Amino acid sequence: MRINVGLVAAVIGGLGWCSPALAQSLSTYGTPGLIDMPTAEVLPDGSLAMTTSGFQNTNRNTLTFQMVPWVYGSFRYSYIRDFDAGGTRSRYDRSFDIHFQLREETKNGPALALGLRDFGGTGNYAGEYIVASKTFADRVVVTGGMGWGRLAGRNSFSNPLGVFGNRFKTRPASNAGGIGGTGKLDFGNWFRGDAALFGGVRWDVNERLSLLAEYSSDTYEQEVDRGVFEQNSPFNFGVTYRFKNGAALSGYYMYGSTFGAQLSYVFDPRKAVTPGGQGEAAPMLQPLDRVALASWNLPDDQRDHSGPSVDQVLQARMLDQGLRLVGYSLDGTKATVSIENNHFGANAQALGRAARVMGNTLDPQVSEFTIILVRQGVPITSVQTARSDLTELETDIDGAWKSLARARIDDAPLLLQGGTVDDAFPHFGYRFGPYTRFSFFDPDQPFRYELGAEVQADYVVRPGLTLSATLQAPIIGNLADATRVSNSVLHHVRSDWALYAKTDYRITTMTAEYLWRPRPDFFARVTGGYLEEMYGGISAELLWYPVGSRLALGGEINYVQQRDFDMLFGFQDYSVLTGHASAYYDLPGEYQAQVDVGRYLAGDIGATFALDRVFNNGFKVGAFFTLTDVSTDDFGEGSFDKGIRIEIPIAWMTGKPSRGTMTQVIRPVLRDGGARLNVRNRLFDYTQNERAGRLTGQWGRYFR
Amino acid sequence: MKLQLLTLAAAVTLVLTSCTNTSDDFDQISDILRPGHQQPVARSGPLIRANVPRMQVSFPETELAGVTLLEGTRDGIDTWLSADGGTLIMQRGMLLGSRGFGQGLLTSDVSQSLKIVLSGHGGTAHRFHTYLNGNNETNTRTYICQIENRGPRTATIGGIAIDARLMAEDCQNLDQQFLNLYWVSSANNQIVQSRQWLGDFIGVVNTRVIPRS
Repeated sequence: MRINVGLVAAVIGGLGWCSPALAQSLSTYGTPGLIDMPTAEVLPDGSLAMTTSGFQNTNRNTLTFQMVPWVYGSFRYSYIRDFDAGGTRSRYDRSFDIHFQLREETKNGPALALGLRDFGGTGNYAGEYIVASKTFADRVVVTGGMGWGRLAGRNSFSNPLGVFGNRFKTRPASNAGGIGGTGKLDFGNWFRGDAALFGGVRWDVNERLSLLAEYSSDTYEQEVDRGVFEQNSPFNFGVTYRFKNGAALSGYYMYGSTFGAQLSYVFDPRKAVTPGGQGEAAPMLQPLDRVALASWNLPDDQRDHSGPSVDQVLQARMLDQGLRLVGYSLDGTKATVSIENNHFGANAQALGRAARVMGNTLDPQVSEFTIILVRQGVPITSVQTARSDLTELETDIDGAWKSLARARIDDAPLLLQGGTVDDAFPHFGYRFGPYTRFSFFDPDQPFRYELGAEVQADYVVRPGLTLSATLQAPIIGNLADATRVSNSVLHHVRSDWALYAKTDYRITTMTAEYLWRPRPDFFARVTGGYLEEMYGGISAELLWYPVGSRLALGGEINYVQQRDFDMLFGFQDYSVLTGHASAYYDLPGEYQAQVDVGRYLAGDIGATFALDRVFNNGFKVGAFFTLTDVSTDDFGEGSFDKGIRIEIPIAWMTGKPSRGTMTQVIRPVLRDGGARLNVRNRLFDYTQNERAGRLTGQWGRYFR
Repeated sequence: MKLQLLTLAAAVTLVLTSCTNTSDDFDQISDILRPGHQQPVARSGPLIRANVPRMQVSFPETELAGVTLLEGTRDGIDTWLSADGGTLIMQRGMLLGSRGFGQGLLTSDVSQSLKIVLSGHGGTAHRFHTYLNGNNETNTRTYICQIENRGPRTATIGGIAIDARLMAEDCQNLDQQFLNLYWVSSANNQIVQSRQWLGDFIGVVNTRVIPRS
């Protein structure tokens, strides 16, 4: 587990210099490609690409994520004006793509890739391809491929895959099941029916500018039939200019009939806005003789007893570093502090700060520091460091790695030890500020938002016991204007969301919560009250999560009743027993998997599968889906619950220390099947950043 | 239109009046909305009162300049603190690391370069820089440096002309290249003025020791 992050980074950095040419332009579909046609290229591993493109009655907005070096996935929201209902209604369409690079480009051979466009949406853009791309003279990339479905519109021929069976020769009509069939995977269609060839060339004039030309196998048949597109030629031409910051601007002349434009932005989540952050530096470790002369460290007979005591000085100095000292004890030469970190995104940095505060404050005879990371009075993890290691390694060239190797990371004791510091409890935390809420993909108004004022108060009565309330007052937005009425045949456990948003003020949550450690490696939680916007009741959870484990297992059970639409104190007459057994696993290569099996809010039984790529700096990109015993017909549009989610640390964007994150879940559609309760402080998320995996991964910030 | 402006004003007011004792997110937002309103860090107060040694610094890349205070010295390594809480960590005037200026130079091993620069003769040295990157990982880079004595120069510091020799250190590795300059006082063989490279992100920092008044 303890790998030399520095060495690994140096090796990877070294390889980076001689990596082969990577995709430098994105198609109108927001994926590596020419204009409408894909290439066999991929983005650098981990990259996120956002693209918006527009031409003749069409607009495509795509988010592409390079999940692993050879696979990228895309989510697209597109708009075709006047496409439906005889030209009176526009089409808003959500689609997912996936692309597998089967072979990397080499000196003698091309890159090869296979991809599926719109493999699960309404099928409007459904098409599959195999494609090869080869770079010549470092500047010219030639691409040729074969497409099926939409990509087989022009000069198509009988499917060569027909040799494997006649079923490949015909392609069933896509989306045969109507809107209800949307969202199912169209396995039966992939690589079926006629095929056609496409190809093109990109010429990288220089580092910034590329010229593109392609022969498209897409005839825009449906768009042409419905009179929203004109198509006179198979040839498309384009020019792309890339800016230094990752943005690119493209212009196209397409199908002999239309001009198009595109803006894209590609970035690497591993590159935060500043590499080291702009937060205040830690106080330097002072020489021991200076620390010995501090008034509180003098022998009793020389001491001015009106001065501050050691724990008062510690408390004040920790607070200067953004850390709340809740416990301090001294046992001979061993000192233990318990701290709550609400300041640093990386707990490793909080540990380094706390250790230096101890080193600059405690009597030089104290030789061993133990720092216990605590949240709301609940001890989570303890880290032991020798004082001499701190001074020795503060300016050591490999100090981060050596200090990690010499530190001892253990599960914390079950209770705060050695008594708490004065005033540590009860503790009152508050937050007054803005909040935002968004809704996407309502065909009446694809983007809805709400901005308002929020007051949040947390009163930690004693370690583990917290009373909390969050109140919101909307100020501006169009979220409450939504008029779509849910047509769900299930109980409307989520799909009535629009009705909840119409109040002038609301009690978002109001809870009493108790968190504790029943035994080593275990965490427990009981929460009662108005648990979330739509439900109130009681929730209990138990989590097994050894300090250095990649695996965690948990169970949660809730009895909840649906709240009134006014989001005040009343309830509706729908109650449900819901709960899940969960497994969390930290996969190698920055991946984290989660499976939850249980009963959902509508009483349906099933499982949710989630996979997130969690970058070392906390930036998270993931996807999830839920399958339950609700039939796809009963579920309605979308067939089953699924979505993607992105979590961005605020520190990543600002360069300043922060534990805050911005999270956005994007669901193509929110229905009532597979809906889970949103209770606060689920234990895995609550403890993960304090456990050893995350601490060791981010140890580079220990001496930051 | 007027209503929109009012709402926008309300939103900005809301952000600026936001307060919390549990996180730092609002400070960050208001830093963005009101740049330059940052308070000097608390720990600079006692140092100013104690009249500790000072050093002038400037970052040509960001056009930031100011005075740093000597926070302390341990085992021959000095930590210089800027008003906004950034530090430069130096060994006998040669830069080892920095904090809070955006560039994550955690520390360096410059022992070979330091020896040659202070000797006044030229030579070849290896230096090692450990960086913190934006993904919270450390990354050690090695440079090969040619050091030469460019002869006597006069450094003017605080209106006083100081006789010095200019030492130039030209360093490179596979993808990076930089030039450090040191003005070494003839009187006491100390670096009194310098131009040193911190890293790709922030570039060069100029330093100049301020004589004690």
